[in-house]
Amino acid sequence: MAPVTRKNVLRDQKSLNDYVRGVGLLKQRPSGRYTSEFNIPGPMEPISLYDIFVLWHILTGDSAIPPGGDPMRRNQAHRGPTFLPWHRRMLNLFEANLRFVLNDSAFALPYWDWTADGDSGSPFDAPVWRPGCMGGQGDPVSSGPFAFHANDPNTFSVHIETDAAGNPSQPDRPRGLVRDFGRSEPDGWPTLPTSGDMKAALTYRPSGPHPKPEDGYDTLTYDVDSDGFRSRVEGWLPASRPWMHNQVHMWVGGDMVPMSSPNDPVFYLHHCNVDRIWEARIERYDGRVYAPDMTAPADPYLGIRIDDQLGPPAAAGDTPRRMLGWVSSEHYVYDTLP
Amino acid sequence: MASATGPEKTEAVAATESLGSELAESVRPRGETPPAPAPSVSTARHEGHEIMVTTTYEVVVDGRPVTARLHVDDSGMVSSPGLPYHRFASALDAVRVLVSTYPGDFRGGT
Repeated sequence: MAPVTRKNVLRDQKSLNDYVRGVGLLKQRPSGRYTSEFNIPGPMEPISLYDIFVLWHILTGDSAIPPGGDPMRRNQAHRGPTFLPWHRRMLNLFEANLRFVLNDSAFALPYWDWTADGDSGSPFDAPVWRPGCMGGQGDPVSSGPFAFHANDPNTFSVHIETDAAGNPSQPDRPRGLVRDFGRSEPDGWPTLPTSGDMKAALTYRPSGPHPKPEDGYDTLTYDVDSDGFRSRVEGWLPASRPWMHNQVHMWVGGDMVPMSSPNDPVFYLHHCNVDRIWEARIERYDGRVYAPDMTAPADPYLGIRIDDQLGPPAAAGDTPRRMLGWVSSEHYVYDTLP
Repeated sequence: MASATGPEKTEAVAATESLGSELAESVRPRGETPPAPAPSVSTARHEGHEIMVTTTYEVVVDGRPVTARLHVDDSGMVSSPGLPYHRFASALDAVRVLVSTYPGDFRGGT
């Protein structure tokens, strides 16, 4: 199969149009699952195929590594080295579902290069937020393809969210999407990452007398405080403030703040850009390296080592090593790498 | 379950439906008591000594205990599962943002 090309959402109208249409189709398509199966309080409601991805993200964020440990120290998808491969896997499956509902095997997820907006002063009316793209901010969002129209049964609406403890919940009734741009600290963050911030993460080099190549990716203790490209692009280090991935979630605000952040379709454009930056690091600096390797002890690192199964759930063969090599002439490429 | 990254169109939907099924099976059975909030445990070695610091926050808002837990990491920063991308220098700030992000969980107030 020829590779598809993931393009900048502002430079390819077809990718944008197809993405918007595909999201709407996934929202309408039932998954066969119901809220009661996930012990979500409230009435038993069907869950759409789109919202299965929201639940996947919530439940994975609560799955500790090691099992039985503390998901706030490290979980299957965040706060540790699987952050990049796990989200690459999520994007791939989401993209494959869009291909199916669009009946277009050439569809590729577009990305949002938020550093361009960061370099321009993080304007609230940047092209990506215009009605012809993702629409703007609001409670609910009232412009663009994901605006809420209370009397339209097919309007874009949020059905799965989390409570303050991070547990899956549902609103009293389906509600509109919420965005609240550029709130000040501590609620949010007033600016988006700049190209300078991205370059600092891309060119990070481990210190010390004899660093191994994989030390550039991640290091002991493989959590929010371990230095490396992963922790810097995820946004934990330097620890003085949020950076990169975390900073974007905090700047967009609203539904991008909780673990149910895939509710906002801009989540996938954001993570596609994170994935593009990872690929740039691989291509231009590190090569396909990852840490930890299989010499790390299973206790406490089972689930994050290079040949461990990514989860949940138990998909055959999806390991960090497999995701590391997924971008290729066989699967997908990016139009440009930073 | 089929590979989550399989290129086949029908495989993708089948994989997602299967994903939904596996996720449902992994959910704690209804009625099972959720685990008590875990303390944060930080460990380090220093000059041949093993250090362990255990931190538990007790948070009360409007006289009611808050079930959302706070976690403190090795650098002393505070985070909470309801705010997975935030990190706070102050536990009070973390609770302030929880209250404003989840107003439905903190009804009342003046």
